[in-house]
Amino acid sequence: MDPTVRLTDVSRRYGRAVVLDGLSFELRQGIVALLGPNGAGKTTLLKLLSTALSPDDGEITVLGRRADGPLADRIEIRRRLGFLPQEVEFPSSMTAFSFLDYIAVLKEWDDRRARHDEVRRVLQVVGLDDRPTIKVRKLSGGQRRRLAFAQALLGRPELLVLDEPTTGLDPEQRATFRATLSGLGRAATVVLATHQTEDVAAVCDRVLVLAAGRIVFDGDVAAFVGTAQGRVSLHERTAPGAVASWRDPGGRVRSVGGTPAAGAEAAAPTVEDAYLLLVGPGALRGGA
Amino acid sequence: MARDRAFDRWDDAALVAAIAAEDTAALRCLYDRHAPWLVARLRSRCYDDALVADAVEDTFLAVWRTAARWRGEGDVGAWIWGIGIRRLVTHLRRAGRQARPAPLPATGTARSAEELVVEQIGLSDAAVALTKLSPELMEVVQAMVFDGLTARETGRLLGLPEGTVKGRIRKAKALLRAELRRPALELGELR
Amino acid sequence: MSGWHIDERVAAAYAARMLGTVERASVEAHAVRCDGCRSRIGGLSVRPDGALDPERLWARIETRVVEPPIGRLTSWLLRLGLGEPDAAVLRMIGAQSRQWTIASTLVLALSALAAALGPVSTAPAAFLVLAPLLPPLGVAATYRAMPHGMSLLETTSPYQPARMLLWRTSYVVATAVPPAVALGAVVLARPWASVGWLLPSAACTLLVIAATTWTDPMRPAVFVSLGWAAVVGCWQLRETPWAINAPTTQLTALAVGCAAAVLLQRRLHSPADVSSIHRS
Repeated sequence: MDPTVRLTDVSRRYGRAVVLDGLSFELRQGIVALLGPNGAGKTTLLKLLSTALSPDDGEITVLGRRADGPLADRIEIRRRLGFLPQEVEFPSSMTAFSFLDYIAVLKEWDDRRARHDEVRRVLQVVGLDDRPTIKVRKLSGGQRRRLAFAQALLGRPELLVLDEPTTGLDPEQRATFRATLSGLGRAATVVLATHQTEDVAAVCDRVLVLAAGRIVFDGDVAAFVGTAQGRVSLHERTAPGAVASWRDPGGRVRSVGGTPAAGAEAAAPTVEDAYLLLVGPGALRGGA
Repeated sequence: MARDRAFDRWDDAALVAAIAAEDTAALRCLYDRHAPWLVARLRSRCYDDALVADAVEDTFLAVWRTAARWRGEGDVGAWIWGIGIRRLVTHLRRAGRQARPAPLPATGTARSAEELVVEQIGLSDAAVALTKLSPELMEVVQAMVFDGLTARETGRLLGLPEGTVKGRIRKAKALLRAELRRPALELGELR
Repeated sequence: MSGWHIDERVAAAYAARMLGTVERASVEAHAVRCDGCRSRIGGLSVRPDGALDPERLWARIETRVVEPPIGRLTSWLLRLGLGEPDAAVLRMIGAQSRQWTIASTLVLALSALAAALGPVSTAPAAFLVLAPLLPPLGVAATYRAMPHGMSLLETTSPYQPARMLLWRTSYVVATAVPPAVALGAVVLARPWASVGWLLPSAACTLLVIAATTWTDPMRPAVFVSLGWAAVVGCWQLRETPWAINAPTTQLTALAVGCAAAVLLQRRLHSPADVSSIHRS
């Protein structure tokens, strides 16, 4: 089967700043997590995948068409694409239903009846079906995020590009979101940019780590966690040179990286450990 | 739309408050509770099911839109009925028809059914007296007393000037009083 | 309530509409206060078929509650022969452009006021600067007024960018041009001058639109505005205030407009960068 997405030597610059530097990879059906500190180029990469931007160099093929090609090709891609931007500001006078209705119009749902049925379907998927007529400005942050997610699901796209879909969701909503997402991952290709490493462990099949415009890791989740094997320790004190450390529920200090003191106990690594070791402490303050 | 079973335990006033907060599941619950009875009542006043359906649809739409303005005075059922009968009147008028009391089928079963009621409910003297009113007076009494319409709405419903409606209701009262030879007090509801 | 309830046969007779007015009223008088009898009679009256099927009736109610009604504007557009989806897009553009509509109305009202109160000679000049710039500024404004994120969703949807542009421009032209023409007829008091500005205005609009495929729409809008103001200023200085009606002016406007249109067409279908309109 052909890959859903293929990037070959893709670069993108803003003025003189190089945001993405010669990326090459392929994506197939399943959920891939895109990790990286803020400013690593995640959002730019997602805009390239969703045809909102074109690369300065290189080729992007999405669903068999050139994303940097003629308009007809890009429109064909857009028909089969769902995109959740990092921030969606809604026109304040709209209701949840009318917002989705408008996006569905843009997505060529021309038949009013079928369109309204589709809007109801996605409202149900994100759990907003009991308040479809409520004005968007009266929705909570989490509800707005779910509404924005709902529009990406219109028409059951083959490629879903999600830029930090779980910001603003409470733990319960995140659990629901994960369940929805794993369902989607069985049929579609999902690219999920996130800072929530727990989401990665729970639903993703593969991890791509982007740092300073380059891919620094590409592999399955187990392999990613494996990179931290033997480098996480539990002891009374922080291991010297540790990238990060915090108190674990047992009262001991969990150190990631560094040189464990004599008598320190080895701990099973997590996605977060692997991420911290890979991207370093400088990324921490960036919000990763 | 998913039905929310939690609402089944709520009372009507709480449901209306939830509807005012634009909860469609609450409207569904109120519909389940009140629509069958509303349909039954409206059907007994109009033989065209399509018009009854239109009226019920409009009624619950009005409930949805005006729930925020309902001040919690009185019974929710009565409020819904008040909207329902008026919407029916509107639809009947639009269809060019008048809501004459549904004619009784002239079969034996009808008679016996009426007797059944008399037998079970034990019609009061006042009720017996009512049955003696002429159809013209009876339809005015039905609209104003039983259905709770104003003289003006009754006039629109029956295609009569408001003055005629008022005249007829006065006449009906006088006749009933004479029939019963009782003080007007007893007929308080015939104001 | 008392232990008395409506007899099963009476309830059935009520549901079957076989009672007279008085009996019916008796049944109702009891049932409105008795939940049990009410739901029993209600249950007997349920028609599982036809218009009164409870589920079907609910579906009708729910549709009207949930789905946005076809408004007056939309039904008017539909009567004009527009498709329902296009009408929805236009409605959205209108909803997002209220501020613009208010602003353009204000500008026109102010120039009318200036014409009524100010010196006679300056009124036509002010009008000739302002009126032709309303459409290009308006198109730029409708793109700028869109919340960020929404514009990304629009860009990444399969809706044709050219079509979106057409609706935005149509909206602005339809709301700004007729009042401007009417005002021009009064202010300019010359039959041809009141429509003479339309072609230059169209050229300015196309220029702005073509330029917005590269950059933020406000930049070309400001640039073109300054350019146009300079042209009108020149006419005033040379004391040829009616040069707008001269064949050279009209032909130049036509040429510029055509060139901009060709450029726009190329840009919209070019593979370079964002093919649609740029939004910052």
